[in-house]
Amino acid sequence: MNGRREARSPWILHFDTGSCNGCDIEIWALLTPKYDVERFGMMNKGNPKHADILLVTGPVTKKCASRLKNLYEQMPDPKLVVACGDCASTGAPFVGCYNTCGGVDSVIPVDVYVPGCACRPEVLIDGVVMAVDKWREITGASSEGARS
Amino acid sequence: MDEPIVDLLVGFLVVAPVAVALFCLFLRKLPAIGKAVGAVSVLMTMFAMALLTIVVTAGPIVREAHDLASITTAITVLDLALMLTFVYISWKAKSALAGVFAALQLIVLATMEIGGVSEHGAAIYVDQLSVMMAFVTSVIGSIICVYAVRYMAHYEGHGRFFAVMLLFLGAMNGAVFSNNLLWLFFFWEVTTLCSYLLIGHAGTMEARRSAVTAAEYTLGGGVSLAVGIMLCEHHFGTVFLDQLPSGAAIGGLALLPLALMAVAAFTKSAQIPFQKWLLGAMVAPTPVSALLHSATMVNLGVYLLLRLAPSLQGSGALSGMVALAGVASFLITAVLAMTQSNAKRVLAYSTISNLGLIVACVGLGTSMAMTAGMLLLVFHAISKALLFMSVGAIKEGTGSEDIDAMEGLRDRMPLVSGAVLVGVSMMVMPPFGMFASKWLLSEAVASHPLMALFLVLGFGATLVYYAKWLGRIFTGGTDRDALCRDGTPRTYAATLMATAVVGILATGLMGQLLEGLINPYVSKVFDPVLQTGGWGLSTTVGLFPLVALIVLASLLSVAALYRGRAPPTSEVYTCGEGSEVQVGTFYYWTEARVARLMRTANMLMALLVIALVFAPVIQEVAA
Amino acid sequence: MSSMFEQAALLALWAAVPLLVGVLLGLDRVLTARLQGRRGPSVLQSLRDLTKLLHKKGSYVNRSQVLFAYGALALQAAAALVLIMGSDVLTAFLLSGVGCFLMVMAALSVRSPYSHLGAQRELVQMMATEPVVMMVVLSLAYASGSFLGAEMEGMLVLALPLAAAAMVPVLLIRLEKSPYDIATAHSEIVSGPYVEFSGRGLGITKLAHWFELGVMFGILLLFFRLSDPALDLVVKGLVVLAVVLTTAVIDNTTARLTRWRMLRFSLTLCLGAVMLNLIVLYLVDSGVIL
Repeated sequence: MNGRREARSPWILHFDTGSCNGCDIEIWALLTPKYDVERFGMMNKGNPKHADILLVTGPVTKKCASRLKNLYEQMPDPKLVVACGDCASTGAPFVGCYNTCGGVDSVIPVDVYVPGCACRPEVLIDGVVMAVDKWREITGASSEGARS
Repeated sequence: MDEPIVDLLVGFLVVAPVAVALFCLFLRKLPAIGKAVGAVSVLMTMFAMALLTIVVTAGPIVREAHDLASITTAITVLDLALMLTFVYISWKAKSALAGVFAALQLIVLATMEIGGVSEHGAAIYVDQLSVMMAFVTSVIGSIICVYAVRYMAHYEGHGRFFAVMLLFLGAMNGAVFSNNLLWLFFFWEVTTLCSYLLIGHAGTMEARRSAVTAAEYTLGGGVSLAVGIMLCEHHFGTVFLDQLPSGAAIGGLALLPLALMAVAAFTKSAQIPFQKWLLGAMVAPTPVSALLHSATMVNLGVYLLLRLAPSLQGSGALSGMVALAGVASFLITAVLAMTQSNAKRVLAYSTISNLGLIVACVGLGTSMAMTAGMLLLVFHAISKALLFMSVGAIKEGTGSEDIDAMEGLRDRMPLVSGAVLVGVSMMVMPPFGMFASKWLLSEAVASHPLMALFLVLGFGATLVYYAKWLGRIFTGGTDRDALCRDGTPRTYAATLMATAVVGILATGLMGQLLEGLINPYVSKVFDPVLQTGGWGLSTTVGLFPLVALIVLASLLSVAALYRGRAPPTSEVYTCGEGSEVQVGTFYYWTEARVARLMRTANMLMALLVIALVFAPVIQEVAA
Repeated sequence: MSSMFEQAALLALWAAVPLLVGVLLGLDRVLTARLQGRRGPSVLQSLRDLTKLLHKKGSYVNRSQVLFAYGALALQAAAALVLIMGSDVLTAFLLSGVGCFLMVMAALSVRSPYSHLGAQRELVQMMATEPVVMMVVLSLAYASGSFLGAEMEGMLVLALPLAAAAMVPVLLIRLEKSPYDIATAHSEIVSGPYVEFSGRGLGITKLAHWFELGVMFGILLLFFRLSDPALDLVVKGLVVLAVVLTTAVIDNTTARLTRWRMLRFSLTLCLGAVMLNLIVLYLVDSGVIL
């Protein structure tokens, strides 16, 4: 029961760390009538301070790394990170490339990895739902900890 | 109460500052002057309080003219000497205009003295309005003088400066105690002289030019007042304020003296189109601005209008035009204040704006409006003094009066920033008096659509320019950047706090202020409708929950001081970029556009003032 | 006894203002979604958002920001209370205006470009709506002869149709169907003065805004009062629904304007409409016409 109310209103920040825009287009597709993620209370917020879940696309170029870290730090706790697509999850074709860090988890902790090149909107929704479940666990655990 | 004691109190408030002024001329050294100023300030505050108590409990103090014939003679002689001084000053400053005005005043006065004036009446009449004014002058003026002792350390000519400052206070008190218009005229012109000397004190070209401009405008107003007084004698056969007939009884050409005196009040209160002198006066040291804008000078104009209110009442077109001039000044200067970047200029426009409201209150001529006008007068004086003194302290600390340079002052000068916060709160926030009078005035204009239009637009603009200024001061980074120690000099801290305390006390005692001072004066003309009771103040149509708002404000202040367990801090959002951020502000209009607006406004308002003077003539011809 | 009961009921209504406004905003979101061919969230979604925010600790930049935000909430809540208790409508409106002033101060207390941009835009918005609403309040008082909400009797909308109509654009602006001028920074801009708040702080500012909306709707509802309590409630409910529907339709079918267009529109057309209405009423009362 704990954490239920929070998890019904996940606000999202989307950050592109040098992706080919394939995954980004799929993320924007979530807002269209076909997928309509506002059904679940999900809203895209252009501001880390308002967001609960960070959706990251791209392999994280070296120039982007500090910005990604900065945005992550500005998100209030509890916060969750979803790496969207193969690049964001592993670095994919850019592994070992001179100008990328190779995946989001090399810069900030990642909670959910969403595969695909580009990742499908349905899988993205799935990923966000998993993140929300994890969020429930975190808040539930912390409030139980506070009680005991 | 024993008569001699009352005489002593009234006399002291006029004579003591003047005596100490002369004394200052001989002292020359700042520390010694500081002691003298401090002593006379404390005494004046105490005496003003005593006088206040006496008038509130025992009613107005009246002294017949025939008992004071020697003083009348002395004032006449001094008056002539003053006129000659003005002629001399204009000759030295090579200002033909000022010279002509001074000469005209001399001629009018001489004509009156030769023709003889009525002498049956009260020369001194200290009622609730007078004592309210004297209290503001004595308390706020004294605080400003003490403040100046620290501020003027960097300037030359201390003896002369403090002599003129104190003389100013004495003259103000003299003016509000006088019932004889000729006495009032004398003190009125003394304040003109004082403002001329103070504005020109720095001695630079700009200061001198501004001083001459101020003299030209206010001497012009003086001519208008002198002619008005002469016509009073001609039409009504009296020069005593309390004997002026009530508005319903007069019409036609007999309204001319009232119109002329209203114009004189406009010049003194710097209403558009006469605002130039007050804006030019910004070159003077900040304590002078504080004094001109809050405790003295500009108040004298609206004081005269409040005095004339019973006669203006029922004068139809004339009072309508006075009201229009007031609201128009209010709106135009409120809009202009949004476009300014210099804190002193913003405050100057805001002064004109608020005085415009008081003028409008007199012109409206209803019970609620009169009450609102008197409340505005008191609370405006207090908050404006606080704001000007804060700007002076900021200028000394940072070397700038520019609003843009005040960014983040919260971190560098917390105490002064707090003072500005309190000052601005007194201007716009509940439960302070300005907010209450704004409420009252708005309820008074509900049946005047045109006036209401000016007011609603002006109130919006007022919030905007204060938000812009206060916002700059409070723009800060994270709390880690804040200074722990505040370097504000002790004199500043003490005077700022004293003014804030006066403002807070006046707000807390608003009910008593209303019952003791304002309603008795309003009841001379109207049935006072604003009463204390229940949760605060109530009129027949509205309710202002003063007590509840005071409680709310206190709770908020306590919350502001409480330092609880704070959530974690974070840096500002800059799209992930970590660089240092610069923020600017928004001035709405270009300077050229502001100048254009100013010209148009001046022209229209000048037409209005001309119409105001000619209205009685036209009325006479039509009848 | 009944008056005690009545007072308690009014207090309960005041406490329920955030709930009611939250449901209205949820309704607005559903309507918007349907107009865009989506299913949309639950009607309660705005309330869920607020609950989440209030439970999130968040972070802040400096203390003044937090204090001004709490001040804004206190004043807006006080304004709503004054209005609901049937006291002075003008006092309520002025309090709410100062609440907006404090919200601007909260936004300006942070050295942040977007926050300042939001604050300056909020100031323009205040200049656009405050005069109109204040004029509406004055016209209500003129028509009913009292500033006390409890004494504003009858269907004042019949005497003041234009004034009531002028409230619709005002609500459109206040509901933050914000016009935007900078397309490249749209998502930052629409956060307005709330940019630098997060978690509970953001919840507080939202709550303040909801109380402010409550005051605005409350002023609109003063135009409609019937003696039959049941009918009164139905009419008021219908009016609110109609306004929410209208704003949603206008928002989704028209182009968004810049702030300056908004200022000009509001200060000429809306204020003009209220003035016209007031002047006609004034002339009728003084016997010049009719």
